[in-house]
Order: sequence, then C-alpha cells, then structure tokens
Amino acid sequence: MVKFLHTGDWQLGQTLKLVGPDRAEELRKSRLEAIENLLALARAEDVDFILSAGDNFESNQVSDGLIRKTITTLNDCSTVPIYIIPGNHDPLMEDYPFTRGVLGQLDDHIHILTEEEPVDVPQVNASIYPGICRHKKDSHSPIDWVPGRKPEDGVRVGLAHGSWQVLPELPDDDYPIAEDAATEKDLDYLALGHWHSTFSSPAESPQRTYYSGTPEPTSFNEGDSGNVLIVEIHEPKDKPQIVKQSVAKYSWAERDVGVSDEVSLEYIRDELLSLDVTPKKTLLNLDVSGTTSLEVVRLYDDLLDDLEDRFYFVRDDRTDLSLIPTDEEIQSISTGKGWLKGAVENLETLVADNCEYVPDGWPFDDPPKKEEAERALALIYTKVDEEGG
Amino acid sequence: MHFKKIKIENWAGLYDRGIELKLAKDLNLVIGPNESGKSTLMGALKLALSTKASSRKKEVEKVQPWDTDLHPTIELELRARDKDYRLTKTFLKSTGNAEFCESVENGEWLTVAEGDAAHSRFLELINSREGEGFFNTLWVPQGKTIEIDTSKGLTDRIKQAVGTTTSDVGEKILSYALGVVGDENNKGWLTKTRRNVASGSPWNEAKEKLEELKGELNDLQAKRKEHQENLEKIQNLKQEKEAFRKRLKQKKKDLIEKEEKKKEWDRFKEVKRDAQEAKARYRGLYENKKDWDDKLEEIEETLEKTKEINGEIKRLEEKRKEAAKQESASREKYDRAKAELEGLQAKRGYLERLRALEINRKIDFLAEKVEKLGDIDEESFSKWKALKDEVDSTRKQLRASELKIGFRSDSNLTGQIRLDGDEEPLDLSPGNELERTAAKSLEIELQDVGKFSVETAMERALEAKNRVEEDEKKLDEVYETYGVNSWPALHAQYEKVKEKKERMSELRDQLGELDYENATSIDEETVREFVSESEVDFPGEFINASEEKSQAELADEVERFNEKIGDQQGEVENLKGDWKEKEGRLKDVKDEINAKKGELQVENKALEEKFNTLNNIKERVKAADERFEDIPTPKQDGEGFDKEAEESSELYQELMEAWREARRLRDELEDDLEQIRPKGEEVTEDTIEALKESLDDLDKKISDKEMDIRELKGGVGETADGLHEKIRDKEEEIERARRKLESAKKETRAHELLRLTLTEAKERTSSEYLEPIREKVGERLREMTQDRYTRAGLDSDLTPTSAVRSLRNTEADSGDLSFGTKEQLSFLTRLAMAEIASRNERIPVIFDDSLVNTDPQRMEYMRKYLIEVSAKAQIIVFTCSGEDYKFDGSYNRIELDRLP
Repeated sequence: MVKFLHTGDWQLGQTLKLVGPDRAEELRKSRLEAIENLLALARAEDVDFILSAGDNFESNQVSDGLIRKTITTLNDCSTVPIYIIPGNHDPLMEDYPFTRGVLGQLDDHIHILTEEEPVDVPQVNASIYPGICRHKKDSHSPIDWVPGRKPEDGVRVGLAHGSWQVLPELPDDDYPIAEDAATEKDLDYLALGHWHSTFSSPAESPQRTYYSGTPEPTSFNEGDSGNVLIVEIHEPKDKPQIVKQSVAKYSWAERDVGVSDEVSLEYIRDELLSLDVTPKKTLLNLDVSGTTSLEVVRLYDDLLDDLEDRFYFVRDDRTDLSLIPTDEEIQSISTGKGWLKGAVENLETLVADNCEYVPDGWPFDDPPKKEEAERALALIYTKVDEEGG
Repeated sequence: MHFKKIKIENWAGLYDRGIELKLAKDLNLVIGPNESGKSTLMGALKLALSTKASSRKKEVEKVQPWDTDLHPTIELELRARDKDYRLTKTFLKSTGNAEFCESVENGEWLTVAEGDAAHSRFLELINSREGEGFFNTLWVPQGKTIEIDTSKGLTDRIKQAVGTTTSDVGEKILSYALGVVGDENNKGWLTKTRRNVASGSPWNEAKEKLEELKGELNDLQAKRKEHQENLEKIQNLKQEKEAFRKRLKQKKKDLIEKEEKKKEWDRFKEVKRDAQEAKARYRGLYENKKDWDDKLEEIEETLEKTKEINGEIKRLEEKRKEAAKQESASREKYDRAKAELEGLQAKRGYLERLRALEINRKIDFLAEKVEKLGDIDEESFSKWKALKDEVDSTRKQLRASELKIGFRSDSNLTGQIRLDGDEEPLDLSPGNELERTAAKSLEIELQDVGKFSVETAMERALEAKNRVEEDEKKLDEVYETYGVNSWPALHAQYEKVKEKKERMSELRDQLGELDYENATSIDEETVREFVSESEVDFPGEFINASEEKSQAELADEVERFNEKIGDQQGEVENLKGDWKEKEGRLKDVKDEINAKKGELQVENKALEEKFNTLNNIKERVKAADERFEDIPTPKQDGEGFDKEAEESSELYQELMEAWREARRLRDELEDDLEQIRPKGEEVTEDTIEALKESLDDLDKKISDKEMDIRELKGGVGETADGLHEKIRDKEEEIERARRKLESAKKETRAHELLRLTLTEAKERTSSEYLEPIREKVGERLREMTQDRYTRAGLDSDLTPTSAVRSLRNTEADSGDLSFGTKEQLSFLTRLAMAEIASRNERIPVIFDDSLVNTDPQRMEYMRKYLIEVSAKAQIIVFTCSGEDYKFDGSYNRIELDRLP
C-alpha cells in the first residue's frame, strides 16, 4: 500500500491588495503556518511521502529571507520525504528559489524535481512522474513525456502543475493537461497544482486526477481552499482512496446580502454571525444589493461597523445598492426648509434617472454618477439631522 | 405696520425739548429747515429699532444731551396686524427703561413686555430679527441714495409677500459644500476654472501619490523585466551551449569518417593521375598522326591548285596579244586625226595673226592723226565749255546792265543813266554833281543781283567785267594751244579727235574678239616667227592668198576655219574614245594575268611552308618516341610528291601503331578509375584540417558560453532576492492609493453636485421674488424716461446693476448711467420693494431728501409714484424745502421749526 499527502500552491509571499499592510503581513505569515500544519498532519497520518505540485512561491524573486524560512520549516518540521516541482509562478529558471543556492542546505528528505524522468520512492513501491514548468506559460502538457506502464512498475503517480482541460474556455498556453491524461499515461494518481480549490471531476472514472488546492486560502472567490489530500493506493491500478483535510488558519467568506429595510439588516446580521467560522479568523466580503432608504443605509453602516469589530476583516461592494429616500425622508429634510426642497428634488431626479440629467455648470467630462448623487443626498440628510431638523 | 407717532425727548441737541410727529398711514411730508431736528429724529428712530434700552454702547451714550443727566426717551406708536402698539425706550436709566404696550379698549395701553423683552417683542411684531437692517433698507438717508443695503428681514418679508421660501438649513449646507469644493471665487477642492482639482485637495493629493507610486512600480517592473530577460538569456545560452556540445560530438564522429574517406580518395587520385598520363600520351600521338594526315592532304590539294593557275595564265596571254593589236590600230587613227586638227588650228592662228596685224596698223594710223590734231580729252573740253558759257552769260548781263543804267564802263563813274519812263538820260558826268548825287542815291534793281545802289551796281559791274576779261584770256590760251582762233574751231577739232578715238576703240574691240591674248602686240615680225616656228607646213599659195586678203575677208576665213576645226575636234574625240576603250581592255587582260601570277606565287609559297611543316611534324614524331627512326627527305617544290608513298613510310606506320596502343591503355585506365571512384565529396587534407579547426572553435565557443552563463548567474541571484516583495508591497500600496483616489474623487464630485443643485434651487427662488420687483421698476422706468430705458437689472441683493437702453437694446452698467438716473433707479427700486413687501401689511419707507439730482420733469413722475405707493405703504418724506414735494390731493404735511 502506498500512502501520501498531496499539496501545492503554497503561494508563499503572496500579494494581498485588499486587506491593508498589517493584515497582509499576518496573512502571509499564516501561509507558512499552514505548511507547518500539513507537515504535522503528514507525520500524524504516517504517510510515505508528500507531493507538492508547484507554485510553492508566489514568484521566483522572493527574498532570500523567505526562502531560508521555508527551508528551515521543511527541514525542521518533518522528515517525511517530500517531492516538490516548480510551477508557473515559480518556474525552473536560474532564480528558482529552491535551486538558487547559498540559501541553506535542504535536508535529504527534501527532493526538488527538475528533470522529466521517473523518480522511485525508496522503500515504497511507487514511482513519481514529474512535469516541470520551465516558463510562466507553455502550450505543451508538462507530462507529455511520461512513458507507458512496464510490467515491473509499481504505483505510478503523476505530479504536475497546469490546467486540466475539463473546464470550458481555459487558455491554451497555461500548461494544458488533457482530460484523459491519467488514463492515457496509465497513472494510478495524478496530483495536480495550479487551481486553488480542491477539485476533481466526477466525469473521470475511476476518479484519480485531483487538485489539492492551496493549504491557506488566497482570495474570496475560492470555493473550497485551505485543504490537503491524504491519498491511499493499495495496489497499482487500484482506485485511490482520498481524504480531504483542512490545514488553513484563516477562512475567506463571501456573501451576497440584500438590503431593503431594518428587518433585512437584522437578517443579514443573524446570517453572518451564525456562519460556521471563527469570525476573528475570517475575512468577509459582502456583495450588497437592493433598494433602500437613507436611514437604512445609515443603519447598514452601523451594522458594518459592528461586523468589522467582530470579524478579522470585512469589505463590501455597494455597486448594486440603490438609495431611494422615502417620502417621509424627503419631507423630513425638506419641509419647512424653503428652497432646500428644490435641491433635494433635483438630486432625487438624478438618482432615479441614473443621472441622465447634468446640472448647469457641471465641470467634469462625464456626467455625475448615481452613487455621487446618492452621496450628495446623504450629505443633505446628515446635515439636516445635525441642524436638528 | 406703520408708524402712527414718533416722539423724542431729552435727545442730544434737543435737550429738554421734545419733538412729536403724528403720522398718517399713507403719505407724510415732513418739512423742516436745516437744524430743525430731522436727522436727530431719524437717528433716534434707528437707535430705537436696533438697540435695547439697557445698552450702554457708545452710540447710546452720545445721544444724552451734553453735560446733563437727562435720559433720552423715544416713544413710538405703531399699528401692526390690526392692532395699535406702543414702544417706549428710555436710554441710560438703570431700570424700567423700556416698555412695550398693546392698545386695549378705550385708548388704554396694556403693558405686554418690559426691559429687553420689550425690544424682542417689538422685533417679533415687525417680523425681523434685525430691526436695524430692515430699517436701513427703506430709510434712505441723505447722501446714501444709491447704495441699497438689503437686509435679510426685508428680503424675507418680500419673499413672504410673493410666496417664495427661504432656507436657513439650505444656506448652511450650501456654505458647507462651498467650504469643501469652493466656488469660482473661493478656494476649495476644485480650481477656479473647475476643470481640474486644486493642489492640496484630497483628490489631487491622492492622484499625485498614485502617480508617484506608479512611477516607482514602473521602475521595479523594469528591473523585473531586465531580470527576466537575463533569465531568458541564460536559458538561451544554455541551449546554445548544448547545441554546440552536440555539434562537437557529431564533428568528432565526422572526423573519423572523413579520415577513412580520405584514404580512398588518395588511391583514386593515384589511378586518376596514371589515366591522365595515358590520356595525354594518346592525345599527343593522336595530334601528331592527325597533323601528318592533314598536312599530306593539304599538300596534295595545293599542288592541284597550282596546276590550275598555270593553265589560266597561258589562256590569258593569248587574249592579251589580240587586245594589244587592236589598241595600236585605234591609236594610229586617233593620232592622224589629231595631226589634222593641229594643222587646221595653226592655219587659223596664222589667219588671225594676219587680221590682228591689219587692225594694229589702222589703229596706229588713227593715233597718229589724233596726235596731229591735239588730244582734246572730254573732261578738259567740258571745263572749257563751262568757262565759255560763263563768259557769254556775264557778257550778256553786262550788256543788259549797260542798257539799263547807260553805264559806260570806265572807272570814273561817268556816264548816263536813263530812268524808266524818262526820255532823257541823266548825265552823270563829273561836274553834274547834282545828278551824280541823285544817281548815287537811287536804287537800281539789277537782274539776278537784287537791288543795289547805283554805286554798288557799278562796282559789281566793274568786278564782272574784270572777271570776264580774265576768262577770255584763259580761253585764248587754249585756242592758241590747239592752233585754232575761235570756240567753233576748237569745238570742231574736238569732234574730229573724238571720232578718231571712237574708231580706234572699235578696232581695239575687234582685236579683243580674236582668239588669243596678246593681239595688240602682233606685228609682222611675230607673224613671221609664228610661221617659221610652226610644226605645220603652210603651203606657199595659202600664205600668198592670205596676205592678199583684207581684214574683213580674213575675218570670214577665220570663221570658216573655226567650223572646220569644230568638225575635226569631234572626229578626234570619237577616235580618242575608241582608242581609250581598246587601251582599257588591254590593261584588264594584263591585270588578270598579273593577278593569276600573284596567286600562283602565293600557292607556291604555301606549298613550301607546308612541306616545311610536314618535315617538322616528322621531326616531332621522331622526337616523341625513340622507337621512331626514319625521316624521309622533304620535297620542297612538290615535284614527285606521292601521298601513298608517304603513308607507307616506316615512320608513319610506327606512329600509327604507337597511337593505337596508347588509346587502348587510356580506355583501360579510365574503366578502372570509374570502378574505384569513392562516393560523395572529395576529402582532402584541407577538409580534415578545417574539421579539426572547427572542433577547436566549438570547444572555445562552449567555454565562452559557460563563462557568459556564470557571469549572468551571479547577477540574477542578486536581483532575485526580494524583488517580488518590493513589487508586491508597491502594488498593495498602489491599490490603497487607488481606492483613496476613487473615494476622494467621489467625495469631490458629490460635493460639487451638492453645491450646484443647492445653488440652482436657491437661484430659482431668488428669481421668484426678484421678478415682481424688476417688473415694477421696469414699468416705471419706461414711463419716467419715456421709453429711453426699457428694463432695469437687479442682482439677487436687489441692487440695481444696469438699465437696458431701448435704442439698439444695449445694456448700460450702473457705472455708465448718470448720477440722476442711478438715484432715480434706486428710488424706484425702494418704492417697488416697499410696495411688494406691503402686500399683506403696510411697511414704512422713509426718504431724507433723496432726490437731489432729479430734474423737475422726472420729479413730477416721482411724486406720482409716491402717491401710488402710499396707497399700500407708509411713506415719510423728510425735506428741507417743500417745493419739490407739492402733492395734489390730501397728504399729511408737518412743518418743523428751526431749533433755537
């Protein structure tokens, strides 16, 4: 029997544009912690070896310091043999971090695969067939070279980084890997990296091509990241047994929320607070939509403040949120305030007509945007409120 | 609201005197001379409206009569909202200084408020938070006619009257928005032109920050690009090195193969050399054999040719003999005819000479005659004839003069003069002094000479007479020379000479006609010489007969000879032609013979050369092979030449044998060569050398590449360290800056939108209350200026800004208007404001001698408008003289006395 841990896409040194410098640093640190976790898991699961399917670094030009830390982690946290290939983010070029040299000695259990040739795993009846990325892009499959099965072959494990052609509209220079690559090359398991969510295709029979996904999520639009896969294969040609294990520190949650009235805010609050996550370790992205009043927007702002206190990070996108003041609001900010009513009515028209009307003297080339008109209305609303009216 | 009573006491210069005005609700005219207290009254009113009675400010202290403890007091009675009120303020008193009362039934007053509260209640009543401002506008103090200081209270009141709204909150928000984005004058987030964002604004700062960061990122990306290019370079270098290495391996293999191949080629070349030698020998023998054969052939041909030419020459010799015979016969004939022609020509020459001799004799005879007569040439004769004509003419004149003046030509000037018509001539003899003097004084007209005095005429006549006599003397000399005694004799002699000369000339012409040049020099001697020297024999009878002949006969004879000669010349020409033809034929045959002889010579020469060559060939054959021995004697002239014998000679046979042997050997070697020829290109020592060199070259290239790779590798490792983190941090920072910019942009644009919508709403409202005032002012302006101006411009503060001229519809700024018009415009504006503000309830308007620059005609209109407006508003006009304000109808007229 052969048992191994499949991981990849560590993306060490990742770029994080949304979260601000301090959080970005923390999140980057968490990526090394996830590796420590998976190494610990490998020990605990007593796997024969670990496969890492490329993109261990976000870029080849990461600092020497980061490379040293990574090597120290790999050296110190486990003695399980680990086989690593370069990916499209860290292709095998002169600056490939693991071969850049002078950065610390890799222990014997760490194997950086740089040639297209079978590697026999010592004391295990298995061979690894690595695909090597030598550039950022390539329109050839990295495992084209893999030879057919010989009678003496044990468990044949492919290890590659690329885009498996099971999804539509994939670019053709992104290391394409044929849909039936595992069958064609007679591999017992094809360990892939590149996509950050754990992924396999039910259309494959038996299922033996897997993306492990990144061990620590990298963005909101990953459906199922933060995992590694524990794979067991009893005999060559047996169906692999897969167990998915989470090793991530942070979760990234994304929700569509509809804002209409105060009740809808309550609902949102309840939904978010009942999420199956640790809020302090969760990054939250809200896509806000709906049509609502000035007052509800103000209450929504309050809710957001509250969420920001509870969650590790919160952001929202209000592109699809429309602000339409209620008649009462209009009355409250315009009744008894003379000509201010005229201004409110003008802005209301702008909001309602999506700013098709451009006021006299508007100095910019593009007409005012709806959100700007909404903001102007909100300003009046706030000022009237401040004046105690 | 309108004032019903104004009463002041203890006020400044009035001291303890009081003034009380009782006012009508409509039109009031207060007339008071200077120093009658008008200004004091108005000052008091202003203070009452604006200042609490408890106030201790300077203005208040100033109204206390100087050096007294009197308390200035003002009492106002007014009607507002259908009720009467009374406000009493006593300034500079510690308590109970103000009271605000409301009238109740029976003329009783009910105190509603006291102290400061009284002031507030009063302001509430007149619906103004700022009493003074309100008052300012409709109180027009002296000298302040034009400026209108519109108070908010009044504009509010006007707005209320016309039903528009104000907005305090709106104003606050507008000023907040202005504070943020600024307007065309104020500094804010947008620039004055508003096309751009102002420096220092959040938008601009975010933009600049973003640009800066992008610049930094660009630098980093450029670095990364360079790094990546270096990686590519290393990759390429490695590939190149690998390619070189492969080539090196291949080349080494090639070298071994080539060395083998070279051995094969060496052997092949050896055989090839043998074959080439055999071929050369064969070729040499073949050449000799061929030359020998060719030469024998040529000799035979040439011998044939010489035989043919000799035959030709013989035939041509026969032809030549015949032609020579014919030519000589023809020539003889021609010579004879020619001799005959020469005889004829000689005889004609003799005859011509005889004729010339005859002519010459006649000419000599005539010349002799001319000499005897004296040779008078034509020129001299004409000269003499002119002289003679002159003499005759002068004589004639002299005679005519004598006839006219009876002039006798003596020098004493004596004689008679007969005047026309007088029978008796005047006797001019000496002694007849009277006549002489008379004659002298007479003017006598002489023919051809003009008018002269008698004296002059006589002088001229005398002169002419002398001249004539001289000329006659010259003529006499000529006559003597030619032996004649008169002009007719000289003339006859001249004619004779002339005739002889003409005859001589004719004879000379005849000589010229003769057919030889020196006919004039012919004499008997030359004729004899001609005869004796002539090659032709002249028969004696011909000589004698010719000598007998006259000149004319000789001429005929010559003519006859000419004809004969002509005929003979034709004959000679014909014969000459015939002879020339024969001579030509003979020459042609001779030429042909010569040509043939030339040909023969050439052939003989060629034959000789060919024999020489043949001998040379034989020498060459002999020299080519020692086996060849015999060389037959050459036959230079071709005699006895035998081709067959030549061909059967020993040498020739040996040559044939050797040639056949060489051909066989050549063919054999060439077959061998084809069989051992190696395949592919020839391999030489050079090929091997070049291959070895290229091996060295590749070795060097590989080591060069390795060096390049090492060099680049070092640099790549260095730049790779942390470049990603730098770019990443920059990108993250840029994203933050971008979001900040977006937000600043949105905020600025939202605030600008807010400002614009607020301004628009406010202006819309302003125009609502401004319009009725503008209309009212315009209406009165048109009437007052009799349509000179059609419209008034008022800004949002109700300040008149312009007036529109009807003429050309141009707008005059207030600065361009006359002082009077400006004053009237402001006056009309105030009236209109008062009129409109009084729509719901009267308000008072006070003018203090406001129309000082207005002419009587316009003043009339002003009075009319005051009356009109007073139907709605309370009007109080203060003036020092009542003259300008004589209203028709009833009005409240108050006259103040000057203070003591």
